[in-house]
Amino acid sequence: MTHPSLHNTVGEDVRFRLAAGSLPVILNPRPGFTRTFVVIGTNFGSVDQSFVDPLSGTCIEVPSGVAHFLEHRLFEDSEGDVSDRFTENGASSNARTGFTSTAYLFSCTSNLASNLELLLDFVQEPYFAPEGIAREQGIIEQEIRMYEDDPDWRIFFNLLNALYHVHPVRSDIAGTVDSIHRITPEILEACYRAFYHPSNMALAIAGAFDVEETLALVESNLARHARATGRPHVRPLHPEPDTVRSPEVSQSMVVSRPKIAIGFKEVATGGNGEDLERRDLLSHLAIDLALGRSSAHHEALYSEGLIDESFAASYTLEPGFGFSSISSDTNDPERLRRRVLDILRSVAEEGFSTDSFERLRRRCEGQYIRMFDALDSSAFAFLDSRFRGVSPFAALELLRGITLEEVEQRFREHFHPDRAAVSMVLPK
Amino acid sequence: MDLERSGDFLHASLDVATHVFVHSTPKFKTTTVRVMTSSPLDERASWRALVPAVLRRGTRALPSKAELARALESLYGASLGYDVVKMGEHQAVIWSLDIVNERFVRNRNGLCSAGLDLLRDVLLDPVLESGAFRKDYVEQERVNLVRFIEGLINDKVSYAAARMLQEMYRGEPYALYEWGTVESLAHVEPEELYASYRTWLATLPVDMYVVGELEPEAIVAELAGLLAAGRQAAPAAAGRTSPTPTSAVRSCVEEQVVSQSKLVIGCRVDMTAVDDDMFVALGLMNVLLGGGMHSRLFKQVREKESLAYYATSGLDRLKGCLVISCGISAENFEKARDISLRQLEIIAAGDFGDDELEMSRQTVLNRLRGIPDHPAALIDFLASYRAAGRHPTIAEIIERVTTVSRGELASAAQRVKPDTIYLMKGTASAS
Repeated sequence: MTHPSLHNTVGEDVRFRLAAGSLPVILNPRPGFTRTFVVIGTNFGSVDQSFVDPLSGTCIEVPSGVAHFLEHRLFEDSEGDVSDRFTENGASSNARTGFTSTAYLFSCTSNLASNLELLLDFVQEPYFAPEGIAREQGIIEQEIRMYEDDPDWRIFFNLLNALYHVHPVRSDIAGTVDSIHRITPEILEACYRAFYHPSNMALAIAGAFDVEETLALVESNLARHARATGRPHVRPLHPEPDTVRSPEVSQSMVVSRPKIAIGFKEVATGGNGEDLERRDLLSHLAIDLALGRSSAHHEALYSEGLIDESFAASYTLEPGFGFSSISSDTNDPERLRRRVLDILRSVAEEGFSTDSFERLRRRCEGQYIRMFDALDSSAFAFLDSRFRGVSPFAALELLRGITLEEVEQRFREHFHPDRAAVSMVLPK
Repeated sequence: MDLERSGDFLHASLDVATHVFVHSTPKFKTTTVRVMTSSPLDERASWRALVPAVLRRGTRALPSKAELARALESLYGASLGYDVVKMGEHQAVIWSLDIVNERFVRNRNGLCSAGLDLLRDVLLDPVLESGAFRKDYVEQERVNLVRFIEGLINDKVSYAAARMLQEMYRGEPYALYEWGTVESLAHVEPEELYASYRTWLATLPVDMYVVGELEPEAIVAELAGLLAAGRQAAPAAAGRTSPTPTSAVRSCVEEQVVSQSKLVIGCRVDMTAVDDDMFVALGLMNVLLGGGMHSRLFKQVREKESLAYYATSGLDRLKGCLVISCGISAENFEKARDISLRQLEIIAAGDFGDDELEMSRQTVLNRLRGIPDHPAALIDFLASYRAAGRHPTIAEIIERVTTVSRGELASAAQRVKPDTIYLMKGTASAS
């Protein structure tokens, strides 16, 4: 039985299957590659701090940092550290926690079957021994302290704190030293029950592997484990106002010169997967057109010495929250803030040229295609698009059809002066 | 043009100091180009790091950053940039061009050639004013580079490592930061910088690498045009690797208002008479010591004693320098230091388990076998061996790694002697 490939123009063979009737699996076999990259993710991240416990039916609140803590803990089972077994099998393993998902991955050039069994086993067989939790608190405390010293991490999370009144996106992904000490085995179990079941997860495999054999392995592994049931998690809406909590926040750190990040809060955060994908794409194009390297505004700021190669402009959108961030190292943060806000105001009035738009569209297309060169970024694209509810190639298809007017409209919608906040890090 | 095998690439010598390495494969959607030059690390390092920044400001045909960016966007988002890295006692400037394979986009032939033309213009045809670099571009980039060098302190891990090297190699070129010093950038005359650039163009050895779906002869012919004709370059000189004998281990403690302290231990590695087998054994020894979650440092310093969030080691086989790095709490300094050094002694005595040896071996083999899946990794593999005067294939190194013995690993560790212990002591109070 062959599974039809998803149509795409990047020349990739990508297939979708619901394994054991519950776990979405995206497969991208690549003849000629020696590595296989495998990632399994769950739709559970740092913003998920309140949810309904399937066992009791009541809504529970958990301390910040739980998704990340759980990620660390799943790596240990009754036989010890799972990462050792990956290494013995010639694989390198890792995991990461984001705002809305947690992912566990490995890559290998041999022993795919045993590595895949190991991954599926440890994610489906949680083991929360109390002594392990105490030790993990020590390790994560060190991780938190490391991030406390990172000015780029701090400026970003301080910005989120300034933009958001109550939405949990403002919490540090790893939590705080205080919050992680409030995590108990019972809390971890409740989170696991609520979020770690196949219909709330997805598995992506890219590289050197046989589709039929691998699928058969996944299906029989799922069948061997207790059939956890549940529905895909739907995030509750938070009573988050459109306004920002604080227009400005500043922190002193050991840095050589000031840093500034100007952020805007997105209020159009609803809609289905395709709506989000379209809005995400339009917002990225809008920011690049206004302040990207090919813009006259960027050139002006750079020539004036107000920004340098540390300049970055980004946009993030998830169901329920979104934000942009325009940041740079600069000797004159106040002046840069005024200039950027002026630029955004004038761009809202003037719009963009057709030439610029077509050029950016072309750039976007080329970079999107090249993203699929790497197994890692491809597999993560498959996972993220699955959680968003769109095809991995949706962005490329949407790119063909969007118009300049839509980009200009999106720009005006997002860059509203009432929804701006500024975060700064200043030298001690 | 004669093409001969060199490692996993085909190699052509354009002249005694100009080489092209080509790896043709249909498996990527990108054509990857790297142009590398290198010079001994010296007081001119900052100027050699400054020139690419000025070149990046514009060509005669596209005299501004924005215009250059627009040209790249029109080439379907090609990326063109540079990096400056330390390779043993050399400073290498590496230009990169990454461009999508035109097979995937509509209405575009000659995309790769157009990208190479742009790279050539950036390298050979910069925008000039009165026969030299533009004054404003030189001054702006001088300031940017000064700020960049001063910015090293923002990344505490890198800063601590650089400080340790400064102490350990005081008076030697290896102590120099690869981007140079702020002092050497105090005064830069555009005419002088331009003259230096012309000299370097004519005299520095250059290696060019390309990976993608291409015709080797054709691409070599195109790359021949990437550099000025009539170069009088000499082949790259090897760096010194002989260690200066040291007696007592030095200590250096500096305070910073940070939450996490950084422990950095520098060790000298005796690289005399290192044959191909020992070269590989040294790399494997480093992986066992601190190259992953299975390693001795990770297991003993982090997992067992909860002393550190990270505990790793890095090895420069060109210079013969091994660096152990840990992120710790200040009060655990002595314990972390002693346990870290103990791991080196344990390996030198051969007192490690077969399982640890095998896990280290598998880690390295997994990494090696995966290299052909990444264009940049393919290039880095050959370039780093080439800097050591070796040109192996990946298969040859895999073969050597497979046969490294416990005794060889222990011998490799015996060549390692602790030299300098640096602590960035964090004085920020716990929150």
